Amino acid sequence: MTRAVIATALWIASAAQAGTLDAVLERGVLEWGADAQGGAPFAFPDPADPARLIGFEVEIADTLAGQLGVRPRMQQGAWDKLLVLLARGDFDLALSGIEVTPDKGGVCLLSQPYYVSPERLTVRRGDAAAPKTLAELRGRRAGTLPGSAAERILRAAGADVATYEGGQDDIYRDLRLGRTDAVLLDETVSTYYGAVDPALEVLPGSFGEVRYAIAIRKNDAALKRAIDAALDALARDGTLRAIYERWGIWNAETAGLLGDPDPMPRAPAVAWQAWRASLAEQPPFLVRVATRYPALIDTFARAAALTLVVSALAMLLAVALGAVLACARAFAPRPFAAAAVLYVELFRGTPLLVQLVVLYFGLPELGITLSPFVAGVLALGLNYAAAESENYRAGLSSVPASQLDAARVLGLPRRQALRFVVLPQAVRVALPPMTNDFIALLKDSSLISVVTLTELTKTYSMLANATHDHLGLGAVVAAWYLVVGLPFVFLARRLERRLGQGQKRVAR
Amino acid sequence: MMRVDALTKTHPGAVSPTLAGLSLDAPLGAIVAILGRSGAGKSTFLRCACGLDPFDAGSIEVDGARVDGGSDPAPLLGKVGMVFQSLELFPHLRVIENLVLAPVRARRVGAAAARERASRLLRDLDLHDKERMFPESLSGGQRQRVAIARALMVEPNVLLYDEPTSALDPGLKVEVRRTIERVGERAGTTQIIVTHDEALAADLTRSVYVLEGGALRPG
Repeated sequence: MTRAVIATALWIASAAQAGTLDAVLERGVLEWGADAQGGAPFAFPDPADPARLIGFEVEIADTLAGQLGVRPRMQQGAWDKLLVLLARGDFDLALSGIEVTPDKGGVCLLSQPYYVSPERLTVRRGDAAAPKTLAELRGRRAGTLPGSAAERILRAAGADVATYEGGQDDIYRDLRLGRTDAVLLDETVSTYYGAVDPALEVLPGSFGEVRYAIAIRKNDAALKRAIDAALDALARDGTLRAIYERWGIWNAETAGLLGDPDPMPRAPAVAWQAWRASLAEQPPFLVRVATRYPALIDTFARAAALTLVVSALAMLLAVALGAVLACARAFAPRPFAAAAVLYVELFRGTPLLVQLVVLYFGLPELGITLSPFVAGVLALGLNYAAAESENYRAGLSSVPASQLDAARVLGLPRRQALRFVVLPQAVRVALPPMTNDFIALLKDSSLISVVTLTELTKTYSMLANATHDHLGLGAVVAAWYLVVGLPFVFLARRLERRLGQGQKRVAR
Repeated sequence: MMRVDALTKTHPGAVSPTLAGLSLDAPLGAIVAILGRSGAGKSTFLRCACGLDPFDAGSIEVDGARVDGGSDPAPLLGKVGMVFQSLELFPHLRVIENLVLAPVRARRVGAAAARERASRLLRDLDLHDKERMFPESLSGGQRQRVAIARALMVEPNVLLYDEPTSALDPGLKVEVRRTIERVGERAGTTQIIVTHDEALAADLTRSVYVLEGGALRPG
């Protein structure tokens, strides 16, 4: 019966408008955008098996895709960037605790809501001075997620708001450490981060409520109708309720939304219990080293490969473009030299993050849509080209003009004189800062997580947030960075030694 | 041989010319010395004579090349050799590589032939055991002979020396003189030595000129 309804809806929808829905059906995959760093219970790495993604929204995405007869594929994106990524076409829809607000109407379509969450205030247990009402929050330091309904409520109450990019774990840890006095967040979150911590207390009573809906591109009315129909079906046949019960987040508000007469959960919250159990028994470090970390080798290796490939390609671009820029500055006619100076000042004088965001989110306004990978390599390469060109300029200016004269008098044409006499000496000077820059680039490549690429740092944040293992996984990710970077350092040292042969210097 | 006729050059922005009608006739195989106080225009003359800098008027002629005032002096490059005061050996290259670089790259001489010739030259200048060394590990006198050998490798018609004794101990000056004489005897190269060392000039040749007021007069 359900299938028939969906099929009809699909037929009507596709007749009305070809678009993303057709594309989804054709490729047999529904790409849904979410932020796995957001943590439990939405979509997050399973603490017991961190290579696996779990969460109530993972299950919703799975069943939705099942309704459409396709496979789900999750695409990682930063939570506050999901709607922009969606508009760019990086995935078909965004399903990541996206709140229904009037202002979203201008940016995207929203499906019918699939969940209602009350806002809950969490404070330190036994804190006599803890704010317990909206009025008491005035002037108090309170943490929440940026851009959330909770943030708006806190600001309206006059609280001193702290927002966190890192994840929910950070928000509640700061409360525990006394850096904030309260945390206001959706019940979904407080159930998983506040209620499980014996040092914290989730206050009874709702401070407002927020509805979650699926975001769809503005012109994808057909997909919206299909999703709405699927959600309807999942609500009616009890699938959604079962998911919410398993995750321990079934509440009266959502029961009302879905037209379910029974607000009390009937099934045990097994997923929540598993989460809680995983937090309670953090195995000792050595056990984690012996069991958990080896299981993550695949996950980290994939991320490290991405980090390495993006960095290496970006460095190649930086070296080539940097050489052109340095030569333009040193040898080209004035307008070219001036253009090179302009380039260097522009790219080294503005933040890499801004350049990346402009490339990725800005260029589509001009009709140029780069893939995340290309945008990442380009942004890093263009930025580091400025630094490289300065390295080469320093190298070139370290070679006296008289060396060039001597080569020319011997009858070497200018190009050969530069190539065989000036360049080798310049490279020797430029090599140590180049090595430095490559390592810096390797680390700066963590910025590409902004454009949905899950590299080493992002992998670390996601896993650490899900498993509460910031220290141990921190050591793991540090080791991976060193494993990726150190071979280049050794290579550069050897090359330096070779180039520096026969030349005595103060420093080795 | 080198024939310089009425060479004139005024540096941009300067009021008076640095070289004002300088003429010089150095026959094949001759050794000519040019004396002059600092600021007399010795460096300007050398840079023009080896083809690095253009000049305003007059002409410079060597076997197979002639450059006139106002034109590109590049034809002289490679035909007029120069031993720089600061030698300008290439620090990143071994002695033998310093010697063979220009013949192999610019003259397309075979690498083996160039190496053989370089070895012979180094032997002649008592440097046969220094081939594999880097310039920095040589003594001052050895370095200067390497510079001379390197200049001779491209078989210049004329070899210019810029203050060849200025950086050397008195004992080494004799060595320089002997080297210059040896080059004259064996290679038959015309040699022009610019120096303020009157003793060296007198020891080397009877063709001594003084650069003064932008022109040469017999010394």
